[in-house]
Amino acid sequence: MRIICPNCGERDIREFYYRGSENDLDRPKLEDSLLNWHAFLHLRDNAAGEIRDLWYHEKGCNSWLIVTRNTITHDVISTELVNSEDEGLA
Amino acid sequence: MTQMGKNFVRKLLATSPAADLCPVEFGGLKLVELSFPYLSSISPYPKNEKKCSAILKKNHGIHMPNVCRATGSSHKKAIWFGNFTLFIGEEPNIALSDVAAVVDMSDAWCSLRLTGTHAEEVMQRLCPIDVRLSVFKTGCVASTMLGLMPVTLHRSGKNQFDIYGFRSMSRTLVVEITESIKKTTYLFLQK
Repeated sequence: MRIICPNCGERDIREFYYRGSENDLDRPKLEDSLLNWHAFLHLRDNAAGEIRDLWYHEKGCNSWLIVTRNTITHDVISTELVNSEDEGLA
Repeated sequence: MTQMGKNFVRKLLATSPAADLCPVEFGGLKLVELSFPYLSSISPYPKNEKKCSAILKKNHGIHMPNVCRATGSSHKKAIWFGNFTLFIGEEPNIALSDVAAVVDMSDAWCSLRLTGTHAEEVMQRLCPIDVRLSVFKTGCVASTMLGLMPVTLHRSGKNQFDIYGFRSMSRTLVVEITESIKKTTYLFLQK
């Protein structure tokens, strides 16, 4: 499997560290209900099909990426930077 | 290193990271250490990237580099380093600290330059990226691995690579490259 890093281009999967579902980015607030925290920590859809995951390019540009891929066909559909609101300059 | 007086240390002398390791010359390939007076990391705060580039241009005459690129000349340059930009050669102007986190890294990096006709083949043995001139053109920068070490590569000429690695691993860095130089040379002598 190869991932196209938005900064570095196409790189081997071994350059990346896998974190898990992108819902790690939507952390509940401290005062949120226990139910929300439970969902955030433990409940995952684990879909057969398209999923969005967090990957870290640790042997490259040290950026966090959101990778959309299909778990049935193994296609990597798109990659984007987590902090893509930057103005484009490093 | 120390300079001794009669009963006391007169002066502490700074030594460069690869002081006793370089230069290495073998079969037309040459590995030398680059020494710069200042190395600083510049990380613009969110939404301040363009302002930071303008301030750098105004005070130092160069823009911030784009992703996988470098700006400037051989003595003063700014290199993309993944999540920060390494500014080399001058003390960064204080005005930069309004728009970016600026950290002195003069002692943190070991900067080496590999030159020679087969420099590309030497790097091919060590790095998991495509370093051929057709892909990794002059002026390109990549953040990648050299053996097991994270490095930043800058192709500063057709047959020339600048390699930036951690100071703490400078000996391994020089040894890895030297081994590759020897193996590459041996290969081409066989032909």
